[in-house]
Amino acid sequence: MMSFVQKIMPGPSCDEVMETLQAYLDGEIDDKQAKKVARHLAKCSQCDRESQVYSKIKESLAKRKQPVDPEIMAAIKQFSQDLISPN
Amino acid sequence: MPVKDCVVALMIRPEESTALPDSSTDSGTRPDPTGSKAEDAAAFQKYVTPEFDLLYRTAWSLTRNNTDAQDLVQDTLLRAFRSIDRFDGRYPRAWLLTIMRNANINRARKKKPDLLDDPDAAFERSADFADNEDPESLVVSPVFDAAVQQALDALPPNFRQVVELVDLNGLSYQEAADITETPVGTVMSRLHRARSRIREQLSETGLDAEVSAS
Ligand SMILES: [Zn+2]
Repeated sequence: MMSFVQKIMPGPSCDEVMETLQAYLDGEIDDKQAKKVARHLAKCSQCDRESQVYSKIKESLAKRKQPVDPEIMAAIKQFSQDLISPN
Repeated sequence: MPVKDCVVALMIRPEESTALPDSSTDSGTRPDPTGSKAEDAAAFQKYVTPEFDLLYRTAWSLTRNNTDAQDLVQDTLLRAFRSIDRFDGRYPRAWLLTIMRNANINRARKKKPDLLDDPDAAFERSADFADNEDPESLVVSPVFDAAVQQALDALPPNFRQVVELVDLNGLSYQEAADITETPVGTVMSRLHRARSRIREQLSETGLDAEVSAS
């Protein structure tokens, strides 16, 4: 069934937008496609809300990136040093 | 047609091809083409050293423990150093990730495959994620990040891995596909399902409503 938004708005359907949303948020679709998605999101509050939730999830996941254990990093640097300038 | 012949003749003029720089005098963006030990070291510093962090994180996503991850990084660095005189200086990240993938294949061959316990296959089979979810096990957290963390930890290994590679380590779909030896389509579907799963957990805890309210 077509939503009200689909009827009044040309371009991708909500289903199509939901299918490409992940790749859109990851910057993995081309500019032309991205513009279509962006235009849809600007007008469709339902899809825009999904987009915001997933953006927030991505943001939260990115924050999970912990610094590498300094001891391990030091060991890797030492290993490299020994590799490139053996005594 | 004479005009066309003339153009072709101009394009393949032999003196032009001999005028091209000899491959032994310059190999592109490498700081020095002589291949001496000092120059290999300089190339290593230039192309490999800046990627230590990414290499370790990626190795950790592949091995899930510090010792194996460090071993895999060191194996990768050793292989990279040995072949750096043949590296043209383009796309160091892709070059290093390819080396790591091969090093990891070697490493995995030495280990016995664990066929009995395959949570990824079970996850792929499950018709609905919520089906085997025990409501008691779902601890409602007031903090969005904590809920995301919890949902991430609950994902089957291959799904969590692709989220780590793309969302935490910043790999592209193609890079994630290469390092895990899976088709890009599989990376995309795993990523999509993993995030949907996280999103579902958020709506179960009502945390997704916070997003649109903010
Ligand atoms: Zn929509």
